[in-house]
Formats: sequence, structure tokens, C-alpha cells
Amino acid sequence: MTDPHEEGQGRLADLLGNSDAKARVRALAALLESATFSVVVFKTGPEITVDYLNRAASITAAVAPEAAVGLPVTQVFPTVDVSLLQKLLAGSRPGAPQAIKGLLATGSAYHVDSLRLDAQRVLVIGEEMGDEVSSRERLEALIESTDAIWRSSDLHTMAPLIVEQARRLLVDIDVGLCTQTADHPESLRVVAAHSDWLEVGLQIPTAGTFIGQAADTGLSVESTTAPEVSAMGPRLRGAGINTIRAVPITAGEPLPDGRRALGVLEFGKRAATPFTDAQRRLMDEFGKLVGLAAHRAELLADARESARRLELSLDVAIALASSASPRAIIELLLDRALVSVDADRATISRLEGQEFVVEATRLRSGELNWTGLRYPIESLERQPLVKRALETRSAVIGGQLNVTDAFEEVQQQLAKMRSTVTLPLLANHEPAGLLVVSRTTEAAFTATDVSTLQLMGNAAILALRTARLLEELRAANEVKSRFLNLAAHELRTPITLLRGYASMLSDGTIDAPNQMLAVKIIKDKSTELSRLTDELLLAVRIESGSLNVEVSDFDIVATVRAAVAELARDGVLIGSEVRLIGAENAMSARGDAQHVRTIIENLLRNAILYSDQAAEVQVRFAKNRDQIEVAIEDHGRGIPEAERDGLFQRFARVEDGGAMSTGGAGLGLYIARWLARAVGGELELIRSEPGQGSLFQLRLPSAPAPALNARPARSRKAAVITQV
Amino acid sequence: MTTARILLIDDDPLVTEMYTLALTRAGHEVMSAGDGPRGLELAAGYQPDLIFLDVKMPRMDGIAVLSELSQDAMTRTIPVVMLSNYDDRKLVRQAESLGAKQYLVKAGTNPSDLAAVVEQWHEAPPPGGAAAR
Repeated sequence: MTDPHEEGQGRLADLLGNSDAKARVRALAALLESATFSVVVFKTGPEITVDYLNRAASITAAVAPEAAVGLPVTQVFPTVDVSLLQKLLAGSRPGAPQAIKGLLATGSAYHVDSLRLDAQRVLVIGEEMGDEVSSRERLEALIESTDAIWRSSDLHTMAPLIVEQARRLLVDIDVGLCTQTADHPESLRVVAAHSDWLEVGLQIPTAGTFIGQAADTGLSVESTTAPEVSAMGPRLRGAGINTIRAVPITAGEPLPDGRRALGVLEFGKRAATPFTDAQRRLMDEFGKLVGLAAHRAELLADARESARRLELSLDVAIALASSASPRAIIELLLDRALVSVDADRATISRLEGQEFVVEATRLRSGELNWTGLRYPIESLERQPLVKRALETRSAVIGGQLNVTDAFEEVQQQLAKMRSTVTLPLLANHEPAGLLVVSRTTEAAFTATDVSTLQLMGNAAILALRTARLLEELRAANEVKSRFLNLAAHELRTPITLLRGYASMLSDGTIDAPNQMLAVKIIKDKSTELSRLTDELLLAVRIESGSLNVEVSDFDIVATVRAAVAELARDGVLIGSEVRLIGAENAMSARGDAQHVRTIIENLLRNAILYSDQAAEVQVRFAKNRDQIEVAIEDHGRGIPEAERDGLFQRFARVEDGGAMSTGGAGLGLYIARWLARAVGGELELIRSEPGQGSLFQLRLPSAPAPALNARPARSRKAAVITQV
Repeated sequence: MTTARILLIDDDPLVTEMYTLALTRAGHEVMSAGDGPRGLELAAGYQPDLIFLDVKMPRMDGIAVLSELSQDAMTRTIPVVMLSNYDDRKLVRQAESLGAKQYLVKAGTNPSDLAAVVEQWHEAPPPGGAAAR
């Protein structure tokens, strides 16, 4: 047995899929499968064969209905009078049904109606004689109904046609067609009628009426004492109508809004006698036929609406993609989202690392709030709706957001929302944001709404990414050009002196006693230039990610000593003192010794350059669990509070240092911290007081045991390196 | 060659020292200021024939100094030549619009070149004359 639902779908597919009349009539015949009268399609030719027979016809067939198709008529219906049949088939012309009465087959008297479908096929209906209504008329009307009704685009356009055809089908019976809309579930409205007691526009309550019952149950209802039992009693009595049959016009499946019936056909007559079986079958079959046509029309309308939405979303997507400002993109998205699905509130959020950032909310009133609130991603645990949408990467229709923690204003807004859809926005198949759209009405968001929003939302999230990247790129470019300017300036400073003194030496401006001084300046500035070049190169390598880090175990004390020796050679330490405390033994650290030496040199150079008088710098070593701590403390100018925040950023320079120029590209601490982290350590400013000095701490992982060969302890408590 | 009174405003003592040496050798009288406020003070009090002004200085940059010089009646007519290692277009235009006579890059200028610059502006029309560049 086929599932009736599947069967209905199949029939619909047949009807929709085939544009030629032959296929449609076949589909129509399928519809008549359940009819109690016989329907047979004969194929004419040298021999008459059976092309189709319905269930009723198969009862009189000699072979199983599945096997009958294609067989000669004499084999399928051995009792049939072939000469009479030949006459009937020969007389059938397309579009002109004919009827004969007689003994087509032995033993039964039939009304026989025929209609030529095409050059070869003829449809024949046989019904036992005795019916008052001519089956020829019915067949004709049914065939015509299909074509006429089929061409209509929706139930409302079809309505007058349906009523007209029903009248032809059922002579002397009043008929009206009512439809139900989602926003008025309590009544049905008459959209077409041929009667005195039903007029177009009349609202018929669903409660206590036959129409209502048929719409609710999806089944036909009949009564011969209608005025007594219907809520429409007085009206029926006034028109003298006693017998009513209400036939639901059903779709293949319940509608998304829960309706079972698209509408109801109501038939009525004065006589208080039941309708005949033939009439009932005709009414019910006609109802089914209209239902299929209407459902198809709804599907088509839906498809048209989807196409329109798709077009709209594509337009929005294009507009979004060409927008370069994140704010403009968000505004456009929220605006269009509300309009396109007729919603009242829309919020877009984005996922940024471990944070969930609510960007903005727009209300139908036009109010737009730039929220900017950030929540840790764990807080989504309390939002099952959002969590589910992000995890399943698909939209969640319905449900409510947990707003207990939200601002009162947001709580009030959301309290008014009755229907919500929560859509994850995907970029490269990964959740990158969230769009929540709500309505104040109960109307649920449809699949079309979701796909419209999804398309717009995904376009927006991609556009947002691009726009943000552009902004970052612009900022990075600005930083680069600032860097280049600064780099050029810093390199030119020593060059100015090199060039100046070299030219003065060669043109004789400098006399003999001053010549040694000039040479010393040239030497110092060459060193500075070379150091600056190294620093710039290091920064460029860090920025481009091409700096190598080679991790090994090394003695941190020896590394600091080497850094001090290097500074001494460069003359930086002149007049200053660097004390190493706790440096009696070697201390094995893990990292890149070369990079660590650069860190120490940078810290010591700063400590000395930012001291006005003879600098006294202390370097303290300590081991704390599995870390080596190197503290570098000076008693120099200190760092003003306002400059501490950006201290480790590129181009940071303490400018309020006093009269003496310190030079440098502002890269020393940036490089030092970067290197510290690159070797698995950390560099921090522990404290600083203007006029009192600063204390920096470098922490490095200590080398795991066995340690490096310990050096023999030094006799001095503190190593003092002084150069005057 | 006439002797001119020159004011150098620059925060790098090594640079001022070098230029002082060169200009003195060329027969000029030189005073120097290590920052903007001191420079403004000297410009008003010392009334130099020409000012060489650095741009990048702590507390008050050369553009701010130039702006004040051009607004003060005491200093308005003193020719100013910018002498800096910053030379981005925006800065140069800004300095020119504030009345700087010339914009020189230190690293591209020999100390002896400054003497020629002094010649050019010292012998320019006397104060009060056409103040155009």
C-alpha cells in the first residue's frame, strides 16, 4: 500500500511536472483512482489495448490491474462487446465527449462516456445506470475544470472558476467557496458563491458551523437538518436550505501555519434528503482536484516569493560587499533584514577570539543602538539558543533569549517579541557572528525568511571582515610610514654629525687641537649608526616574522657580563656603574643567549641614557622555582605615568626626559619584550617613579637539571664594573 | 662678507656645537638655545639677523616656535631657516606657510654650507621690507 501522503505528492509531481495534456489527464485519472465508477483509457489501433484502468474498473477485469496495461482489451475484459467499443472509440473526438447507454459488457447496463485524449488514446468512464446526473456532463466539467483552474495562480483567482465548474458539475445545487487566512483563524470568508444565502465577503465563524468543522478536521461533513444544527441556522432557514455538505480543500500536507485546509467548498439544497453517492464522490473528488491546483498555486507563489527574496538579498549582498565601512555594513544589514522578513528587531554580534561582541540593534521604529558590549565566550553557556545555533551552524527558529542579565531597556524590548530566529553567520564555514531577528507577532519565521536572512547575514559578515582588514591595513600602513619617517630621522642624526665633522676636517675648519675631538665624535656616531641599523633590522625581522630563535641552555650571568662588556666597549658606560648582585655562581637559563644579550643591552642602555648624572645600575639575579629573574634597577629619571602604558609598543619614547637628547628609534623596549616572550620569558616594568628611577624585571625559564657545569664561586660579593 | 648675529635652536648639543664651530669660523656671532622656550626668549632679547630652527624638540617643537616667532612683533621680521632631519612634505609646507625662508635637511647639509645661507638671508631686504620669501 502506498502512503496516501506520498501518493498525493506523486500526483502533484505528475501534474506539475508535465505540461502536456496527456500527462495531465493521466494524473487526473490517478486522482480518480479512488472513484467507485470505472475509468479506462483505451489505446486504439489495429488492436484495442488497455492503457490505464482505475481500481473500480479493475474489479471487472480478468487480469490483475498491474498486468492489464498494454494487453488487448479482449484479454482484460473478456465479456466486453468489442464491436460496440470500437464504435464508441471511433466516434470520440478531442474536446467533444460523447455518451452512450447500453450493454457494453455482458450482464451490466452502463452509462458510458468517452473523450478522445489524443490520436491514440480515449478515456472512457463507465457507471452503472440509474444516476440522475449525466456523467457525460460531469466528465466534461471535470476535464474543463482541470485546464481552467490549472491556469490560475492562486485560490482567490481560481475561486469564481471553481464555483462555476462546481455548478456545472452538480446541477441545481448551490455552491460557495470560503477561504481561511492565518491572521483570522476564527472565521472563514466567502470568496465566490452561486447562491442566495452565501454572498462574497461574508464571514462565517468556524465554531459551530459545517464549514468550520470541515476546515478543522480536513474531512467532508454533511447534514440534512442544517438549520437546526449550524450556527448559520437562521440564514439557512431564511433561504430554505436544509441539506448542506461542506468539503475541505486540502493541501497535500498541513500548511506551515498549521491550517489543514486552504478553504472549504459548501454545497447546499432545499430538499432535506441526503446527496447521492455519485454527487458526494463528485463533490469530494472536485475538492481534491481544487486542493491540488491550489496547493500547486501556493507552491508557485512561494517559489516566486523566494525568487523575489533571493533577488533582494543578492542586491543587499552586493551593496554590502561594496561597502568599506563596518558601520555602514551593519546599518545596511539590520535595515534590510527588518524590511525583507517584516520583523521588528534585529541584532548582529560577532565572535572575536574568545569574546562575543554585540555590535548593534535596530528596531522597526528606526532606532539604532551601537551596543559594543563584550561577553566572554563561556557566557554563551547561559544562552542555549545561541549556543545551539553556533554549534549546529544552522538557524534556530523560535525560542527565547535569556535576558535576565541584560539591561532593562533590552529586557523590555525582548519581552514584546513573540517570534524569533537565531542565525549563525558563517565565514569560511566557521561561525563568525550571529544575527537575531524577532517579531512582535506570533508568525513563525519561514524557511524562505531564514534563507533570505542567511544570505544577507553571511554577505555582511564577510564584508565586515574585509572592511576591518582594510581598516587594519590602513592603520598598519600609517604605522609603517610613521616608522619610516622616524627611522630616517634617527639615522640622519648620527649621519649629520659624521658628515659635518668629516667635511670640517677635510676643509680645515677644525684646527689641530680640536681634531681628536672630532675624530672621537665620528667614531661614537659610527657606532650609534651601526647599532641603530641593527635595531631597525631586528624590528623589521620581528614584524615580518623572519627572526630566528634558537633555544639552548646558557649561563645568564655570563650573558649579562658580555652585554656589560659590549656597552663598555661602545663607551656607553663612561662615568656610570653597573653592579651585578647574586652573580657568584653561574645560573643556567633556557632560551636564545644572543637574544637575551640584546634584551639586557637594551635595558642597560636605557638605564644609563635616562640618567642625568653618573648612572648607578644594579642587576640582581634570583632563582624562583623554575624561573630565573633578572632585575635591572636604575636611579635615573623614571618614566612618567602617562607613558607607562605604551612603553613596550613600537616607537614609544620617553620624551619628557629633560634637556638631554636620548636619541633612539623608540624600538628598544618593544624589541626587548618581543624577544623575552619569543624565548619563553617575560619582561615587565615592576615600578618607576619620576626622578627616582625604574625597575625592570626579565624572567626566563631555568634550564632543567642537570644544570650547566657550575662555575667556581667568585670571592667578591658583588661584581663592580666601572669605567671612568 | 659682513658679520651676522645667528641664533641656533636645537636640542642636540653635539649638533649646536658643530654648527657654532663652523659659523664662528665663518666670522659670525652665534648664540644657541637647547629648546623652544629658551629660543623664543633669545630671539626677542638678542635680536639675531637669522635663526636656524630645528623641528623635533622636546616640550615645544620647531613649528610651534616658528608660529610664535611670526606672531610676536619683536621677532616677526627675523628670517628663519628650518634645519631638521625630518623632511616630510606636510612639515615643509607648514613651515613655509608660517614664513620660514628655507627648509634644510641637516644630514644633507655641510656645516660650511650654512655660511652661504647666512649670506643669502642676511643681505636680503632690511626688516620691514617685502617679507615675502
